[in-house]
Amino acid sequence: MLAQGFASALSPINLLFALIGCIAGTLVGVLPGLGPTAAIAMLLPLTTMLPPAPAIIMMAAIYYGAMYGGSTTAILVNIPGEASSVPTAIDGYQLNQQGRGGPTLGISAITSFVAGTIGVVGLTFFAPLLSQVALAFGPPEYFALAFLGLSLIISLSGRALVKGILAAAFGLLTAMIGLDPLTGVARLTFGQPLLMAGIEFVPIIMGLFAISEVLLNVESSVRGILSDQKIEWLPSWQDLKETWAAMLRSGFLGFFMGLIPGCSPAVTSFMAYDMEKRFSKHPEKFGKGAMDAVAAVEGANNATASGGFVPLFSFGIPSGPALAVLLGGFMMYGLQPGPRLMTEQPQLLWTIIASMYIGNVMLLILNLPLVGVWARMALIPFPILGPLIVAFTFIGAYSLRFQMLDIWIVLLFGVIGYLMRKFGFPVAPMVLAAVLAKMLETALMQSLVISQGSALIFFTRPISVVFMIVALFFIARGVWLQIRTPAANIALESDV
Amino acid sequence: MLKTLRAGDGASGVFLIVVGAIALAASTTIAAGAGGRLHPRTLPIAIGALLVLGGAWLIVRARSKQYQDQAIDWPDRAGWRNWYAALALMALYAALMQALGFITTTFIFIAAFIWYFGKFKPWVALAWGFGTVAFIYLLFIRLLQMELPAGWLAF
Amino acid sequence: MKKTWLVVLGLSIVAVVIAACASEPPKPTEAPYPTKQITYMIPFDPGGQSDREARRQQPFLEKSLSQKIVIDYKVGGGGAVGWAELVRAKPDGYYIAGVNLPHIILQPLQQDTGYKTEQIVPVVFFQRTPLGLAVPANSPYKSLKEFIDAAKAKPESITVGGSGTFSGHHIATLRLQKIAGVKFNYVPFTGAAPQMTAVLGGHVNAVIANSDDLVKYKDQLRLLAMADADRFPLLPEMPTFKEQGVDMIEAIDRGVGVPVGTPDYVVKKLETAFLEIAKNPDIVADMKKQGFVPLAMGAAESKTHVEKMLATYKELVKDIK
Repeated sequence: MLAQGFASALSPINLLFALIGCIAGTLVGVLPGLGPTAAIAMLLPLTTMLPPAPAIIMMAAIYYGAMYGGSTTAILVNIPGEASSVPTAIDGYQLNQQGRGGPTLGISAITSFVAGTIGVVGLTFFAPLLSQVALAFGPPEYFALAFLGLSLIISLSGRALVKGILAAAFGLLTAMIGLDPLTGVARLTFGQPLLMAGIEFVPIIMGLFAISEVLLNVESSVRGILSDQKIEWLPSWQDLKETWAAMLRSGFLGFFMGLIPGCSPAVTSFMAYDMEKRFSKHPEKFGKGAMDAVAAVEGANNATASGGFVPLFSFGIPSGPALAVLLGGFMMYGLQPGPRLMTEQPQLLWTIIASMYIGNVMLLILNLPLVGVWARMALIPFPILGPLIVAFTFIGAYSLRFQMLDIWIVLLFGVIGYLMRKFGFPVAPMVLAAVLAKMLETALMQSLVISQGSALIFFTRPISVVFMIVALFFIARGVWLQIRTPAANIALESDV
Repeated sequence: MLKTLRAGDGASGVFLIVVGAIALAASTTIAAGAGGRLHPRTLPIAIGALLVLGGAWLIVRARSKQYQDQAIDWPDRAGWRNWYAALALMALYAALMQALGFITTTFIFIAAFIWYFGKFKPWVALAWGFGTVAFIYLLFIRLLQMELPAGWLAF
Repeated sequence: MKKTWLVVLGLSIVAVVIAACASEPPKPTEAPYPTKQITYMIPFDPGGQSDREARRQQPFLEKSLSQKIVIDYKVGGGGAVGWAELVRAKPDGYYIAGVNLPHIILQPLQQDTGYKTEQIVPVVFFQRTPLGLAVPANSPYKSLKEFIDAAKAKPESITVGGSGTFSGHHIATLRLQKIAGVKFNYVPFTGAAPQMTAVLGGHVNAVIANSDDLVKYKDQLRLLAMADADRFPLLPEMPTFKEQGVDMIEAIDRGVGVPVGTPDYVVKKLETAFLEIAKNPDIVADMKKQGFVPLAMGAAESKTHVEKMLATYKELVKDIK
């Protein structure tokens, strides 16, 4: 079946549209704020002109292609375009400042390829076996997952545990503004209709990272992000040797997390970062420029993206907004992904899957030479790069909802982010909390309704109890380390 | 002012207490949702309380004797001037965007920023401004048909 | 003295100017419409049902109105944010929006959402998704009767999933409770995807779901009852509530609306354009295939429909609040 799929995926028209999708996806990924969801939605009317295979191949390519490009600005100018590349920025930007931007981008592209391929292989051979994972997750499991995610705050905060927790609480609070996700009751809106839509976390991320970076750069006598160090272009064998294990580990983690609908690449990439820190031979380098950290994050978010195709193809369940639009694309053709599609239209399905192998190769070929182009960006003097960052950040923020409010949020969080860095508050926990807030609260409320108010439900179901125990273990261990080394919890913060 | 982390922790503590208190006050009036076990105000109240307590803890800790103080790496006088200039430029950019249109304000902002911060000739600044605006126009407005604020000079 | 004189003069000039402006002859009543691009705002996420419908209509609208149609999203609050925006827009027909029933009725009944039902003038309703009750395929409940009997035996023990509270799904559940004299445990979800995932995984005992979702997942579900007058063409084996003695009709209707105050001839023009699309046989066939009921409800009919529903729901909502 796969061979037939390849035969048809290699037809000129399918190849062409896969290529267009890969290019568009890379572009969408590189431009901050512009996500694959909007890009795919804009292409929906095209479905009236194209046969199903090329149209869906192109839309899918935009989706996984965007994951390749997403890390570029995070590494080069410390602007994660989406939440899933926030952990990339932590170490990637440090590496760039050490003059290793080129190799980091190269590793990131190679990792994306490895993880993307792991994901597609998983999709090809294990989809029917693994599809049940998607259904095993009910509200209590989602709550336990979100709780486990929150427990990562401890390791993301480094030695500034109290400040990390407070930053996370602040992030949770911003996520509560607007209408309650389930009951639709207005919260913390102060009667402002504009606030009813809530605050998106993308402008928050852009402010915390991009704008505060600009403010940090102008205050010291004006310089380029990279002064005059020699720049390497491609990763060395040494880099590959150091990162291959991280690529595989996070690729598998990402793929499995991708099977769970609603578990976004943002959650997975934080988890992979944390996991790699525990596996790594040099955890102390995390946060200061560890290549394997970048590999872990990129591997995880790419594999999560491919993993999301499993519940989509086997049940028609979209894992996130971008896949929901892709599902919309299927429906425009009157196709309903699910077991029936597998038996009725196997040719189409296998063509799409085969095109993903091809698309990943295309993306690698496309992205490796681009590394040279992007890495040069770091050589642009800051007085020129700075305003460009601001302009593209503003476009990205505005394009989310076409509201000026989002631009002001970017600015506000730019100042907040600046002050947080000066006062030693870690930024990453705040982003993580803002990303997890909805899942946490929604799942908690649903679980309590189902259990009629008993919190025991989280400890009586096998998957959720494992997650809860792991999370509680992480928390207990973090608190214990904190108490045991009291001197550490005072000043000196890790600059995450 | 706020030269050291000790002072910084105190200030952030006060700020977090204020934010937490506002959140607490605003949360008490949240209406009950229809048929739910978790009141929509439970979590906001919990977080507000956490912020108040955490802020207080920061202040207490900053006053303790064991606190190893450390200077905050603030910019110098010229640095502050640049900092305020950059923030003012960005705020003006955002404030004028709707009236003048995205293209016009972006051009002015980029040219002004480069001219002010860079040691370039004015034409370099104008050229970058023009180039960026042309790129944005072609990619976002023409190709992606994005609805950016048009302003008076509607394209 | 001189100063007073100046003030009097100034004030009189102002008064004259104001009077002149006010008495300016009104503009001719029927300006040509449309003369520029129209923004078609969707208050839901891109790729959702409302968006897909708008995307399908877009090329036809552009042809019949010979102007560009721009699709724009104002997402949030289950549509409330977008509709609050719609009623603030200039009522000139250049800003139109997708509207959903019962959303635009229920939201203002719940709290101050920034718009009122009466501020939105429905132009055309073009699509209906009847709601239905379903349980997982391996559920012990084989029929609506068994399901209701089980709920009677153990009140509040049976979980029913739906999208949101104060929504069409929630109201349908409440109405079923009222008619059958039982009590369920309603579990709200954030949308169709999580709701259907939960029932397929057996995390809730049953769902109230849109017809198109029931069509999508019909192989993994047991379809107990459809809340429509007749059986659903794509699900002929699924009985209606009415057949089983529960007189209940519940649906979600999708259409397009404009702010109140839009001139009649503009509404007329939009109505003609949208009705033409709604009656297009290809589109009708497509909609049917995807599990929707095509509608072609004109402006007058839509208005009475909304008014009738508003009255019914006001009664029902008293029970929840």
